[in-house]
Amino acid sequence: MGALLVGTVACAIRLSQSRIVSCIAGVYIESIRSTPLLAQLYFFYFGLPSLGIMFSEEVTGIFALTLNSGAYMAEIIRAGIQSIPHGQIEAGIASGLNYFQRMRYIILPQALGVTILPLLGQSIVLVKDSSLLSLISIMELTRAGQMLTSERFMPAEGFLTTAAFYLIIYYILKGFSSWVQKRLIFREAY
Amino acid sequence: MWGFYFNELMRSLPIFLKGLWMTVSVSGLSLIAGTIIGFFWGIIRSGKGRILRRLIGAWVDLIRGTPFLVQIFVIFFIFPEAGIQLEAFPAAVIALTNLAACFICEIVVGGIQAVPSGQREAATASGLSAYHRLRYVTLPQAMRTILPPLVGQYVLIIKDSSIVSVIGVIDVTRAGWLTVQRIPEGIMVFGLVGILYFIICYPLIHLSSNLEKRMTVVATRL
Repeated sequence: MGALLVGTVACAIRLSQSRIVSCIAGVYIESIRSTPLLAQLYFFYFGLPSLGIMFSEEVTGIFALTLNSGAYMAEIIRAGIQSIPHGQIEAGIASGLNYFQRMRYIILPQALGVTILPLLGQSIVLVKDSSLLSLISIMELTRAGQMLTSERFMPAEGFLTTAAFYLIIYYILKGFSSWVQKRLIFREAY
Repeated sequence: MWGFYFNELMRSLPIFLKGLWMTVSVSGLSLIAGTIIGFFWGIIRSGKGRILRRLIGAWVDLIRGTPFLVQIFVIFFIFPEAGIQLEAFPAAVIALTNLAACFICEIVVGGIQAVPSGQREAATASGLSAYHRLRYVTLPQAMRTILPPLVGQYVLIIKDSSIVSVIGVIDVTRAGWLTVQRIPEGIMVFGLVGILYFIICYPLIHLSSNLEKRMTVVATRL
């Protein structure tokens, strides 16, 4: 959810008229997209304390994951917004709507139709990426598998159970996504 | 203090370069093997054999549905129980190849399906064999849809290769992790790691979006 918010804001900034501001958002998106999440995670985990900022592992992990996912979502939303015909925006300006009203009532509702499927895909990636949080000792699904391995020496049971849980989440999200897809097609045909 | 740490970091640069080479070789090997296997699976999957199709489909779903971290743990920790003891490097390459093959398989299937079926029928009517149909009609046209996401997938795989650091392959991420134990300046150390990945991935991302633009132009011109 946080990622969606960051993504929308970053994307709005990226598309803004001001060249400098748009450039900053561009640097953020490009640098996140071309480095691995694990490096980013370590960057915040080892980096923030040296700046004197102490967060708990959970906060650091969620922070890194949000920033990471936000960049990808910004790109998806940007593609969605740019797919809307320019006439729509001009009509919005002509009707005297200001920037936020245009975004809120004209552009975003239309962009949603194009972006919803890639966004769901990204959330599947996000769930899988969250497994990396175990590496900075956050207690989640993968970590649970590791604990089982090291404490009771049962790697097979531990990791296969973990994999099964991830699969369940994956199939739920995938089912939801194909349901949305069907509804979208139906609406377009209608 | 920053200056001192910076000098220390520069002195441990060889570790990073070695790590960079490791990252490049692990992901390079996996990409080559993964592309070949992925194309192979993709072609089979869009072919006729129903059992094979189901089998590959289930396998691809299984791999796409679980995190790579879990897969690498399964290969590295469970395989020894079955008597297959792997070094870290081959285990990493196998896991990454498998991952790459699954994602590429999906891309290839999408590309082949995007070719209008009339093309295939016309080829059959011209008396081309199954192999010739694939080689001269379907694949060349499918390549246009396949290429941009393929390069994008390469970037994802290179980034995923950072995960193999957890089983002790000394790649760039691992080099950063080892260095940060000595130099407690995480921003600097992992900033360097980030820059190294950036150097590899950024050109590829641009290549991918360039290809995408060029391929759509070709498509509209026809």
